[in-house]
Amino acid sequence: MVLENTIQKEMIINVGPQHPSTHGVLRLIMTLEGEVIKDTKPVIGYLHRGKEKLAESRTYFQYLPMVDRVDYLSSFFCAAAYCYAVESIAGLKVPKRAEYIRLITMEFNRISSHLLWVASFLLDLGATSPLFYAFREREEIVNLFEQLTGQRMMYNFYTFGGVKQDFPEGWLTKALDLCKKMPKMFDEYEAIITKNPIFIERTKNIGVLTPELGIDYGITGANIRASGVNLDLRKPCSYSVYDEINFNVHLAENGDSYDRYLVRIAEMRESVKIIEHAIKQIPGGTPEKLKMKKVNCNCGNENCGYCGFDSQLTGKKANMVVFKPPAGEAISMVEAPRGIISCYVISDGTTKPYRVKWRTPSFSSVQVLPELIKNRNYSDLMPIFGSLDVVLPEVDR
Amino acid sequence: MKKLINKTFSGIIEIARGMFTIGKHAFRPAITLEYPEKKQVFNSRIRGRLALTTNKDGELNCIGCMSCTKVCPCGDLIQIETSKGENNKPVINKFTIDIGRCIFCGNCTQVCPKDAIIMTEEYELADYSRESLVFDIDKLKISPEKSDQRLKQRERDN
Amino acid sequence: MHELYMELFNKLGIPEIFGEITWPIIPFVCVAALLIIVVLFLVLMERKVLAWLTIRKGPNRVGPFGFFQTIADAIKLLIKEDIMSKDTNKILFTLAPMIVFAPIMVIYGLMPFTEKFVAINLAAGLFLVFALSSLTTVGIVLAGWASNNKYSLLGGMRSAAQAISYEIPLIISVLSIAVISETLNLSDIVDAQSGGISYNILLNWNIFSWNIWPAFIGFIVFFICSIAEVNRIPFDLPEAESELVSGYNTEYSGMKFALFFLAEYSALFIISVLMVTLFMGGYLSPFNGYLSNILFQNIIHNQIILNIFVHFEQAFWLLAKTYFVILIIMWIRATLPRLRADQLMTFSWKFLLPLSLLNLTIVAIVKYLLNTGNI
Repeated sequence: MVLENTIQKEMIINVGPQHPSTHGVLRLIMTLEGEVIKDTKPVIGYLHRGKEKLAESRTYFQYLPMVDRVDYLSSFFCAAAYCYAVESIAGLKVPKRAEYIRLITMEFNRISSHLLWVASFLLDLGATSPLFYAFREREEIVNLFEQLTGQRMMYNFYTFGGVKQDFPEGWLTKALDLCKKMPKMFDEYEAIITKNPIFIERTKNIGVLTPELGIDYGITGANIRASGVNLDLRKPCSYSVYDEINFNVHLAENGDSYDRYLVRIAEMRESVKIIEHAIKQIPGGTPEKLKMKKVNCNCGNENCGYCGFDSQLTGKKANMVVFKPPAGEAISMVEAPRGIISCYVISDGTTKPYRVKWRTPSFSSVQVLPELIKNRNYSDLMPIFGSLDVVLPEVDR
Repeated sequence: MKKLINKTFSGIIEIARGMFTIGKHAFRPAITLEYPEKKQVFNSRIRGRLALTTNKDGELNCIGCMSCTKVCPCGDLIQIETSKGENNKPVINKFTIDIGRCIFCGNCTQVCPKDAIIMTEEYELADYSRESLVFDIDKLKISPEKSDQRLKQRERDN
Repeated sequence: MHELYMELFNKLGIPEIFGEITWPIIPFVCVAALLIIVVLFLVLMERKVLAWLTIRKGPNRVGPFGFFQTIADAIKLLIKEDIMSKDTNKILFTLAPMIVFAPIMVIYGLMPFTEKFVAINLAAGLFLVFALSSLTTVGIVLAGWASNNKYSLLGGMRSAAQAISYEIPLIISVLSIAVISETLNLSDIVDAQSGGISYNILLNWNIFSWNIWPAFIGFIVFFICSIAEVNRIPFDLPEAESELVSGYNTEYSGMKFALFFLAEYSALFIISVLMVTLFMGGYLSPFNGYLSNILFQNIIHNQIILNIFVHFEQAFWLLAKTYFVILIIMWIRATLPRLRADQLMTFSWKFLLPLSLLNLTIVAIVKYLLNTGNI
């Protein structure tokens, strides 16, 4: 009895903040018994940049480039969340063409974010090749973004009331070409991964997230859809023009790591379809055609298809220096690749926001991690934590 | 037993399929760009190093309205000192940009009423000290022909 | 050879005693040189193959096609500072890389690279090879323990567990070879694989009498186990990068790390050579007789020179088969994810062990029937 107490069975191990597979700088204090995880304590804050506090000392436009850095893998979504919130305070209307441009860029961003997830997830499991293949496709999307916005990562492309620039010439053709190419590439990943017996062994029935647990912890996005909860903000359409586009929400049943993988792959395929559909019915058509028609039309009619409100890039152009929305508050929700990003802005009628609060999906995913990996093998940490798709800058902000 | 045999064979087939897919890639061209020798070609929207444009006489287009300093998210990154010259024309005495802290967001170029500050294609900006990354007028100024070409390019794209 | 060597000393006027002393050292010098060259090439090959499979270019800066990249890396490792953290067990920490490396070097001496190029030709060579190869695990566990690092310790423990479960199917599958060849001498095992299955043309090619045909299941088991033996993906649990940072060699740097690295790659080479020797006819050509015999016998009439040609051809066949096996192992590395520790045990005990026993049974029955002349 005495002997048993003196022998220390448990070992405390510090995973991170510098560890190859914590996707940034998460620290997990783990209590292991042999290789079985008994307890986990996530420690966050190593990537805290004070994004919420910074907003209070900057004007609305000064803060605009910074929201891209809340989650650098899905910059467009963060920017969209902030823009929608400020627009609803200021009462700015967004033209339809701008909404379509936002939708196309956001869906491309969703694909690139999911691609990076597939890459890092498989790398965590030990397969190296899919990383390079995924980066090859991501590179093409990033190149498209670079031609459109001028930057490869932090785009600063959305503005209050629309977008900053139209597509460059030939951009839409390139995008359509890429859309045609991409499903074949997804087929290749699936040939390598989906039915691989080792991959199935590693991920099936691992880290099962029941719908109740997921809802309790506020898990959103693909993680909760893999558990069978139909929660996708794009379908009831609370923002943008998703109601004009036909698409399906993909669900799975078990809520394990494998299902989260399947849902994300299916979402990438769906996003490609959404982009193709959106490019077909964008108001005003290609930028070259629009430019020509605009010169010839000159009718000044509000409902004109070429020079009316809906084919503009921004509604009322806001002055960048003295932009002052009226006092009020607004919350916006956007279905980002990792879940629902929501931005809450309070304005007190000055040029600077009184308060900006971000609600990010990765934060919930990190919280649920200890529940999922309790009493599992240490090796299961990677398939579970990897499949939750956590991006640390988003957690710490 | 039958299940085990089935699982074994399907496993072997799937691994073989995966290996075949990987093997196919050995015959595809490499996507690597050998950077210092070959460089990526950018289009005109690229947001690189900031520069000050000049008019035909070689003078700065800047009128010292300070708009760029007000929209810059990095606080005192851009510093301008002006004084009034003859005919109430503003003279720019000092215009420094701390490139080391710049986040290349492009806010200043958008707000500028005279297209006096623009972004160039230059992106290799590494240096040995922070002080040498604080660019003054001489370093920021570009020749009239270059600024003309750059502005025309920008107009064509938008 | 010995006489030639002694004659050289006589001609140079050096006392014969020096010749007698240096003679036994020569094979080891040859083996060491071979090992270094093999590893240098293998590291480059791995990087190039992985680069091709992942649509990259691989090392291409140092020398033509990056040929001297590994040499540059080796020099860099040699001149690096040797870091040892405060609470490490200094003696064991230093000893561990040597314990990992030394047995593998001895195994090089046991391998028949050609008919004559065998440094140590033992009657129980096969037995000694496996005895020595399990020794490396001791070194890995020692490294994990001495590092005073929890990741290293987990890596070392995993390595021990893995070695215990994988050596058994490995050795049982090799047992079938001993049954077929009726010997434990590696050179004799190779010789037993020559001759084909009949005297007819084509059917008398050596390829038809390789051990891989009667012991095919054994070959599969041996292949899987040998990947586990050299700790490569999908069985690289002791150094699982995404889980244990770098496993047992996390704390090592400089020359000690280089020794681990050297041991890892030389083990990969030697296990492939062993696979080729046991199952694929070793240095024998896949055809009947040697190509150089057929091609040059009308041109070169000097039997000694012809023999030298034959030796080179034997080395060529061995290396060709070995590198083919290594290529497949690298290809697997590019494809598969890593198994979990308990899945690895299950796979080994519940799947590979019965399979290897089945193989042994089949081989034994076939051998009995052949010996009694019933078929």
